[in-house]
Amino acid sequence: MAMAIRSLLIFLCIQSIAVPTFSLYEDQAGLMDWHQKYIGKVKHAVFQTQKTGRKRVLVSTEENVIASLDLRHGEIFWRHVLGTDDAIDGIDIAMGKYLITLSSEGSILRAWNLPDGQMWWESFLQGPSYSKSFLFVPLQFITQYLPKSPSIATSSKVDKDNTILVFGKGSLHAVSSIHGDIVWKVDFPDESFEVQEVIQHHDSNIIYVVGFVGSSQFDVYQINAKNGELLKHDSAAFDGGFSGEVSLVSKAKLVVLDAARSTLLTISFQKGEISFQKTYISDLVKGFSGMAMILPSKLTGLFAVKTITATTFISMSSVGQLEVVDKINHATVISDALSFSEDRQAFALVQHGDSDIHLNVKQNHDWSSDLLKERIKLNQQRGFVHRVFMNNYVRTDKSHGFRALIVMEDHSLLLLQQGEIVWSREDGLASIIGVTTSELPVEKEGVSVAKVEQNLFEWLKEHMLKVKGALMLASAEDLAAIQGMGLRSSEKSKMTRDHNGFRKLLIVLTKSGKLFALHTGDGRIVWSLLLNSLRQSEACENPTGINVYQWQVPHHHAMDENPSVLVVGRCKPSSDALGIFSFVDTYTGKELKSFGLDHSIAQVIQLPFTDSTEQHLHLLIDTSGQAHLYPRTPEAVAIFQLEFSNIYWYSVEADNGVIKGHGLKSNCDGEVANNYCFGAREVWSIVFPLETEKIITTITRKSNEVVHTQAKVVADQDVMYKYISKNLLFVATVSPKASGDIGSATPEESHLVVYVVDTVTGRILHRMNHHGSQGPVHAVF
Amino acid sequence: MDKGKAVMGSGRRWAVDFTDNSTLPSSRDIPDPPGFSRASQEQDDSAVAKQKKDAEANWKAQKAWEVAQAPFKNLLMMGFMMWMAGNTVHLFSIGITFSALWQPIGALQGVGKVFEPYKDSKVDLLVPKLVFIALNLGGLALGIWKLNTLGLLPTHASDWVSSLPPAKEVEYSRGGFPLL
Repeated sequence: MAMAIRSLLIFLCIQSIAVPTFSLYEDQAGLMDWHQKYIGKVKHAVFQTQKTGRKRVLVSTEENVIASLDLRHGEIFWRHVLGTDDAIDGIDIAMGKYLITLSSEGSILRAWNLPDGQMWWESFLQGPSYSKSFLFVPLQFITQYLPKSPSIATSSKVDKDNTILVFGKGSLHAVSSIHGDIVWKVDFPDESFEVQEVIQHHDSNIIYVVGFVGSSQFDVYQINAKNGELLKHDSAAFDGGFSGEVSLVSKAKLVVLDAARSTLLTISFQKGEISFQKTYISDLVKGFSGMAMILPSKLTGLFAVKTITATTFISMSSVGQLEVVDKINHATVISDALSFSEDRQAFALVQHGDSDIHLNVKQNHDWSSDLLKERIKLNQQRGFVHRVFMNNYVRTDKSHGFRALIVMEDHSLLLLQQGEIVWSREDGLASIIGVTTSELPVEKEGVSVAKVEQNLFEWLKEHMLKVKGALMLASAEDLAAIQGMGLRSSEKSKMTRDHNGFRKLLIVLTKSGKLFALHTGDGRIVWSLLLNSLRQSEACENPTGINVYQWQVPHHHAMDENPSVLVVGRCKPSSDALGIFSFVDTYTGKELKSFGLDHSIAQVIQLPFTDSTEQHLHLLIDTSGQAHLYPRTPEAVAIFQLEFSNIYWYSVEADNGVIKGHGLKSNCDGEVANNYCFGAREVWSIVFPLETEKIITTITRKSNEVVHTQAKVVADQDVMYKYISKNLLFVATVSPKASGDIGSATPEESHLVVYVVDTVTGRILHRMNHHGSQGPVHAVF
Repeated sequence: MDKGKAVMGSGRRWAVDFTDNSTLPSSRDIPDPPGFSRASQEQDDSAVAKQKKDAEANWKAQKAWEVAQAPFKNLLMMGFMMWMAGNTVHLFSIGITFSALWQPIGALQGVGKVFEPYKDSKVDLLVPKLVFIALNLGGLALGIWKLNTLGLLPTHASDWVSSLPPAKEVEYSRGGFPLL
């Protein structure tokens, strides 16, 4: 009893002493040097350009972001980042005031308020099976495509148009757009039925749902739009099979490719009869060979077929006659059709020139004439156009104007209007895969005033503005300009090195293969470069970047030599693909050289040695466990041989729960044998029991991290110590049950074990068990 | 000494015998009994005392050497214990290392006291003292060496100046998850 009281007293004492502080100081809240928001590569875009109110474009992206952008300036009105497993399948506007999003493979439907982005309702759709998902908002069809028709607001129309049709999880749902309730639901008799198109005509209550069962059966369902009653079901089989995309060319005609991708198949399904009509592509396109692909588009009476050499536009007459209207050899992207008056439809076609892009807007039925023909010069390399979305507006003289939103290869978003880029967003920065830093240039003495201020006129103008500001004559715009100038010339955002090394360039590699240099002072983009070596080419079909490393950091020749970074990539997303090297000057932003490697890349190890030109030695481990030394010079090998026996590396295999340590052996054998390739031997291994522990995090000290004082407190209250061996590895494991999200396991079945491992000897120096704890783990060494 | 007196002073009150025949046993009439050696009898007082003193000095010197060499055994034992303790910093190795440091220091402080019983004008204590000091210094060196292997000696400039980076490790090891 006494013991219990004593322990309780001690506990109370400790409680009263320990004041938990998980908060910021008052003056720290919301304080940051700079903050930038990005959305990622745009997947879908819907314009909302009513006469009244703000003009905006609603977008969904590959980073699972939905956002509302200002159409005038490209700024974000609001933005929501959905979870990583909540990919967006489709977006649309319903009733002119909600943004409808379908996500998570067609199982979550949400409505967001357009002006402020608040969620209006959320609806979970259940179905028997996984399937392709599909969002269809009939109201959109009418209001946007016929914006000036006054007869639309009849009560019966509104009644009908308030439902949204969603195909997901194998069944078709009609959802009320007012409150998200499911009005009716149709389960199709055949479970493997895959919807390709949902068609509803303006004046009827019948919904046509067309799709495939398996690879060779075509089905059409007619459904009553009011109650979801299955009115009719027709089915027909085709021996050749179907493949890929479908292009709906008229109300009752589809074009699809056969399984061999060499024959076009026109399917008519009006009035309960299904008929197939075969056309060989080689009859239409001369010299066709190989595989074709139908470009997904929604044009009436026209579709596009892409072959290896060219994109061919084929029109279909009302009787189903196919005719080639044009053939374009460049890379081409087309938009969906846009109805801009009662019966006229247009679409945008974007082609590439050398350093410019050609935007043509054509009418569906008239290929020969262009509604709009523009040539837009790009001021920097942005790669090919990947997607184009089109919108129209009415000019003051009642003629129709068009604007196009284009998504480039570097994931940037550009709005084109009247032959100019109205705004551009560098949304590649939403998907950063690697960051390193680079020192800024050393301030050279004897730089004249004029050089710093670019030219005399600018300099005079700035001083005039400053005088205006001092005399209180400045307008709001002037004040903003003065403020901007102050920021630019302030100590923080200078383009030169400071004494303490706080100002740096952040070299950022994005998923699109574009490299950015950001200034740490204000976050501005100093330069950007779309790396040619990380673009699609004959040698590399689908290259991806891996990371960016400091390659050359001149100290002795800091005045006259520029630092450079090494960008490492691989040809395909698979781990055994061959590697790519690219070297970029960090001051000028130019690619110095690039080459492909003859081995794969599993690890990149930056060694702490430099050669006489101050290039860092790098050791690359391939998937077969062999080590390759770079740069490939005899000098580098000589330096490396001196430290040969002191170099180790370790590999973490989270799936097997093994950490292995490796040392170097003599030169490697096999066909890749050369002076720069070394074999490996296993030195140690730590095996974690798979049934109780799963590796979730490993952290080591950064090799370029410098801590001078005994202990340094970093911004997020972590402490870094001066005397911790750089060869130590922090490993955190959790029980396999608790490896999911927070809340997925009860405290009883979750535990977290942390280890400190010496990676040279493989000895576990410390181990600690935390019962009832769960990941994710972030650590600082 | 008493024995000599008893032999010579028997019968008479006093007598002076000027002839000393003790040194020449052959001149005597009666031979010595077998097993009797006159030599010991013939030593005078001072000689005996001297002999005694010599023996004692010998013994002292011998003892002093023993004491001087004693730390050697200690050294061996310490070495064995250090080897057992290993090179990681924990309670046991720290304790052993500090005892290994403290013992020689304590011994060096008490050099005079240790050799006091063996102080003698005839015994040269300098060499044993030097040996004793040398062995203890050896023990101290062993302790410092152990301290160094534990990494506790401030041997690098960075240990004294906080703005300098720590010494680079000989081994270099890096790695992690395979790059995806």
